[in-house]
Amino acid sequence: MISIGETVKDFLVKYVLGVEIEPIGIDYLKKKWTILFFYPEDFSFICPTEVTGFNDHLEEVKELGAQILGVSVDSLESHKAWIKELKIKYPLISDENKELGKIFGVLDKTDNRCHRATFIINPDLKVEFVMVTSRNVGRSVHETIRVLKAIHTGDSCPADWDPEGVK
Amino acid sequence: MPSTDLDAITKSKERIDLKGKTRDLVFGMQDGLISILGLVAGVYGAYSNQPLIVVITGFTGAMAAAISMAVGSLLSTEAERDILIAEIDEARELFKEKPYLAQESLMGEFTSAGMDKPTAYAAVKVMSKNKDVLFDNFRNSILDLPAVEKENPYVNAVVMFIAFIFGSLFPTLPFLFFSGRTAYYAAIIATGTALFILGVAKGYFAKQNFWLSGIKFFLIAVVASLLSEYAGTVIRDLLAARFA
Repeated sequence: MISIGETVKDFLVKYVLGVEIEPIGIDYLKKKWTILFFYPEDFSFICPTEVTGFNDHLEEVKELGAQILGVSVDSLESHKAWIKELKIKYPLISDENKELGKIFGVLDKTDNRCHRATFIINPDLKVEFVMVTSRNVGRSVHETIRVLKAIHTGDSCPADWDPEGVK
Repeated sequence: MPSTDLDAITKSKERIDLKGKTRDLVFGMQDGLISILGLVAGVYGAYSNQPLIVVITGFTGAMAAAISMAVGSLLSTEAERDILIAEIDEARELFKEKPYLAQESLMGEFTSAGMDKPTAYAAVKVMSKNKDVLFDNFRNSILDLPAVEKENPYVNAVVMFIAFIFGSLFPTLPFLFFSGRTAYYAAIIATGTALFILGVAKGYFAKQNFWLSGIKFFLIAVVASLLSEYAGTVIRDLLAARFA
C-alpha cells in the first residue's frame, strides 16, 4: 500500500460527475488538496452513509482548497445511477480495470473490490494521510476533515486536536 | 390484476393450506391401513384357525401404534416449532443489531436472480421502510426460515390418532364378520380399496396420474399382506420347535 510521503503514480481512468463522463489522470490532483476515498461498491447499504457524508461536507472541504474523489470498481453506468440515487455532487471514479486500486494497494484480493481506504494527497501529489478500515466499518468524515485541517496548520497537532478548540 | 385472477390465487392458497392440514390425516390413515394389515396378516398366517387372536392383536396393536404416532406427532411438532422459534429469535437479534446485513443479503439475492443493482437497491429500500416487512423477507428468502405455523400441535396429534384408528379398522373388522380365508381376503380387499382411494386423492392433490397413484397404493396393500402372512407362518414354524 502507498504510504506517507510517497508520490502518487500517473494513471488514466474515467469519472462521472452528474451525468457527465470525463477522463481523469494525475494532472487532476495537481494544484489542489485531494481527499481520495475508496469504497467497496455502489448500491450498498453501508457505503451510502460515507458517500453522502462526504457530499454533506463538500462545501467545507472546498473552503479548505480541497476536492473530494470517490473510487470503486463499479462501472460508469453504475456510478451514474448511484450519483442520481444519492444526489452526489463530487466525482465518482470508475476503477473497473483496478488501476487505481493497484497503485494505492487497496484491492481486496478475495473479491477484487477496494478496501475502505482514505488518502489525503497534497498538491505536490505526495500522500499526507492514510486510513484503511474493515469492510463492515464505516469511516468518519469528520475525522478526515479534522486531519485535513490539522495538516493545513503546518504545525504540530496533539492527539484529539480540535480545530474549533485549543490548538 | 383482475378479480378472477385474485380469486384463483386465493383458492390455490387455501388448497395449499388444506393440504398442510390433511397431512397428518392422510399419513395417520395410511400408516394405520398398511401397518395393521401387515400385523393381522402376519398373525393370521401364524394362527389362521384362531380369529379372536387376530382381532385382539389388530385392535391392541392399532391402539398402541395410534398412541405412539399421536405422541410422536405432538413431540416432533412441538420440538420443530421450539427450534424454529429459537432460530427466528436469534435472527431477529442479528437483524436488530445489524439491519444492513439483511439489506445487503437481500440485495445479493435479487441481483443474483437477475435484477440489476439499481432496481434491487430500490426494492430493498422500499422494504426497509417497514422493519417487519424487511425482516420477514430476510427470514424467508435469506435464512430460509418459514413463519411459525398457527396450527395447534394437540389438534394434529388427535387427528393423527383418529386417522390411524380409522385406518386400522379396514384390515381388522373383516375378521370379526368373516372367518378363515374369506376374512383374510376381505381384509386385503377392504384395506386395498381404502388405500386405492387414498392414492387417488394423493395423486389428485399432487397433480399426478391419480389412477397410477391409486393402483400403486393398492399393490402396496397386497404385497404387504402377502409378505406379512408368509413371515407369520415362517416365524410360527421356527418358534414352534423352540416352544414345543
